[in-house]
Amino acid sequence: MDWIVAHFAELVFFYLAAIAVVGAGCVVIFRSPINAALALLCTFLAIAGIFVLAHAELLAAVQVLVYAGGIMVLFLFAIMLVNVRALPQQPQFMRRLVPAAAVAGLLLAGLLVVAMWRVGQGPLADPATLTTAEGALVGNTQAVAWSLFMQYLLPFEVVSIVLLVAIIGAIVLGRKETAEEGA
Amino acid sequence: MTSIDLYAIAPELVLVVVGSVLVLASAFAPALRPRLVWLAGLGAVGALATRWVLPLPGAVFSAALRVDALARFVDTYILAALLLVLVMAEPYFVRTAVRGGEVYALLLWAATGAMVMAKADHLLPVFIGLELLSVCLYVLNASHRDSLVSLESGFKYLVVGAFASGLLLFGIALVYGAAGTFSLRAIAVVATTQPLTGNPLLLAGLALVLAGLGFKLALVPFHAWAPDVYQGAPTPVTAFLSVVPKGATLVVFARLVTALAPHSLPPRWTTLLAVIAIASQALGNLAAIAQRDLKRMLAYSGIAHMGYAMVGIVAFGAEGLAGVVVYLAAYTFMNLAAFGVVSAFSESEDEPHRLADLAGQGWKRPFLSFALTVSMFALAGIPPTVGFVAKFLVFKAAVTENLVWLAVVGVLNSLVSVFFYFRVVFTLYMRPLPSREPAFAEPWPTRFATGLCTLAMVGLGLLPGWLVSTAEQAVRALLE
Repeated sequence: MDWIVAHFAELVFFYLAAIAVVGAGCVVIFRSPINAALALLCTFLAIAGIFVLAHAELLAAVQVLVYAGGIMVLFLFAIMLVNVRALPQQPQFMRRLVPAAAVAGLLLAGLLVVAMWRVGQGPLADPATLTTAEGALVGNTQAVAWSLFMQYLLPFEVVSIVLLVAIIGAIVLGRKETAEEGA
Repeated sequence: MTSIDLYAIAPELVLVVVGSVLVLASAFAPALRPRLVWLAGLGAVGALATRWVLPLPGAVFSAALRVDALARFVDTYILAALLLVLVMAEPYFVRTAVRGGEVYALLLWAATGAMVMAKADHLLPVFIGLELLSVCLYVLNASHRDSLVSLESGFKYLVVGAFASGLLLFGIALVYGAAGTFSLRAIAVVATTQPLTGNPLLLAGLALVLAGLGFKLALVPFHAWAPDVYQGAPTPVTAFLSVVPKGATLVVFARLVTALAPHSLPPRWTTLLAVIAIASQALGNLAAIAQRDLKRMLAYSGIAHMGYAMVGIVAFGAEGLAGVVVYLAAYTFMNLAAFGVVSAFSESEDEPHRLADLAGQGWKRPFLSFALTVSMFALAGIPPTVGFVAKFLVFKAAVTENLVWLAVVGVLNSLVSVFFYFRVVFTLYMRPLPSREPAFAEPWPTRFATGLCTLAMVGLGLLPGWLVSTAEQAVRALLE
C-alpha cells in the first residue's frame, strides 16, 4: 500500500501514457475515419493528463480546449463531408510498403529507447522554469506568458504570419473562379 | 523588445507589410491587379535597401536572431532571387491566367520565412521560419489550379514537407531534451563542456534534424520528391523553390554545425556527411542523364549541386564555409537563368518541357539560347563562369583539409554532368528546327531577368574577388 502511495504519480503517468500510445496506434489501424478520430481524442485527453502531471497546467487546458475541442470538431466536420461508409471499402494504396514502414518505425523506436535509456534517470529540463518569471515564483500561466512575450516574442509573432498565410492559401486554392474574374 | 530589435528585422517587416497590402489591394481594388507586381518588386527593393542601409546589430530578440554579415549576405541572396523571380513570373502568370496579388504576396512571405530562418540563432525561429516558407510554397506550387500536374506538385510537396517538418520538430525536441535549451550559442556551450558523442539523446535528435533539413535540401536519400514537384510547379515557382529554401537551409546547417563543433567536425560526422554528399552528386548526375524533360533534369541537377555544396560543409573551416556561401550565390544565378529560359521555351504549361523542343532554337532565338548556354556552362562548372569559381572553392577547401578523395569524386561527378548539360547546348545549336515550329514567346521581362543572370554569371566568374571576400567576411562572423 505504501508503495502505491509513494509511486502514485508514476502509476498515473503509465496509465495515461498507455492510453496515449494505444490511442495513437488505433488511429493508424482503424479503417473507419470516425473511429480513428475518436481514438485520436483519447490520445489528446491522455496527453492533457500528462501535462497536468508535469505541472504544466496551462498547456493541459490548452490541449483540451484547442486539440480535444477545436481541432477535433474540425476533423469531424471534414469526415462528415466525405462519404464515410464507402471509405473502409476503398482500396488501400501502398500495402506493399507496410513491412518497410514497420522496419523503419522499429528502427526509430530502437534509437529512441537506447537514447532515453542511456540518458539516465535525472530530469531532462529544470521543472522550476514552469513556475518562475524574472526570478519570482508565479503561476504557470504567468510564467508561460513571460517567456512567450519576452523571450519568444519573435517566433510568436512569426506564427501569426504563418496562420495568415495558411488562411489566404486555403482561399487561393479553394475559391471558385467567378465570371467577373474570368473576364 | 527595443528599437534595435525592430530595425534589425526591418527588411522582414517591409516584406510582410507589402504582402498584406498586396492581398488587400487585390481584393478591394481589382483594377490595380495588373500593376501589383510592381508593388511587390518595390517591396523587395525596399527590403534590400533597408538591409544594407541599417547597421547590423548582432544578437536581437533575446538572442533568437543573429543579424550579422552572414545574415546580410543571405538576405541579399534571397531578395535578389525574389526580385528575379518576380520579373520572370509576371509574363508567366499573365499567360496562365493565375491572377491576383496573392501569388506575389505568398512569394514575399516565403522570402520572409527564409530570411527569418537564415538568421536564426535559436532552433525555434528556424522551425517557424521554415514553416512559413513551406506553407507559402505548398500553395504556390498548386497555384496554377487548371493544371493537374501543378496540383499534384503542390500535394506531393505538402505531404513530403509535412513529414520533413515533423522529423525536424521531433529532432529539435530531442536536442532540447539533451541540451536543455533551444539557443545555438547555449548548445555550443553544452557541446564544449561535455563530449557530444557520449550523449545519445542529442545524437538521435541531431540525426532527425539532419533528416528534416535533408528533405528541404533534397539530399540523397531524402531527394525522391524533387523531380515531380519541380516538374509540376509553375516554372517561376520552381525557380524560387530550387534556390531560396535550399540556400536558407544550408545556412541553418552551417550555423548548427559550427555551434556544435566549433573547430572541426568529429570524424564520424565527416564520414556521414561525405557519404551523403557523394551519393547526392552521383545519383543526381546519373539520373539527370536519363531525363528528357528539362525541369526534371534541372531537379536532378539540383540534387547533385547540393551534394557539391555539402563538400564545403564537410571541409568545414573558414575556407569551406565561404565556399558554401559562394556556391549559394552562384547556384541562384545559374538556376534562375535556366528556369527563366525554360519557362519561355514552352508553348503550354500542361505539356512536358521536352528537351527536343529546343531543337534549332539557338539560331532562331539567339538571346535566350545564349542565356541558357551560359547557365549550362556554369552548372557544369566551366570557366569563366561563376559555377567554376564556386566548385573550385569548395573542392580546394576539401583538398586543404586533407579530403583529396572527396574533391576527386566531386570533379569526376562534374565531368559526368558535362554530358547532359552539353546535350542541351547541342540540341539548341546543332539540331535542325522541326518542320512545325513551336510558337515560343520571348517576353521582355524574361529576357531582362535572364540577361541579368547571364551578366552575373559571367561577371562574377571573371571578377570573383568581391563575391569571395564578402563571403569570407560573412563566414568570419559564424566562426567567432
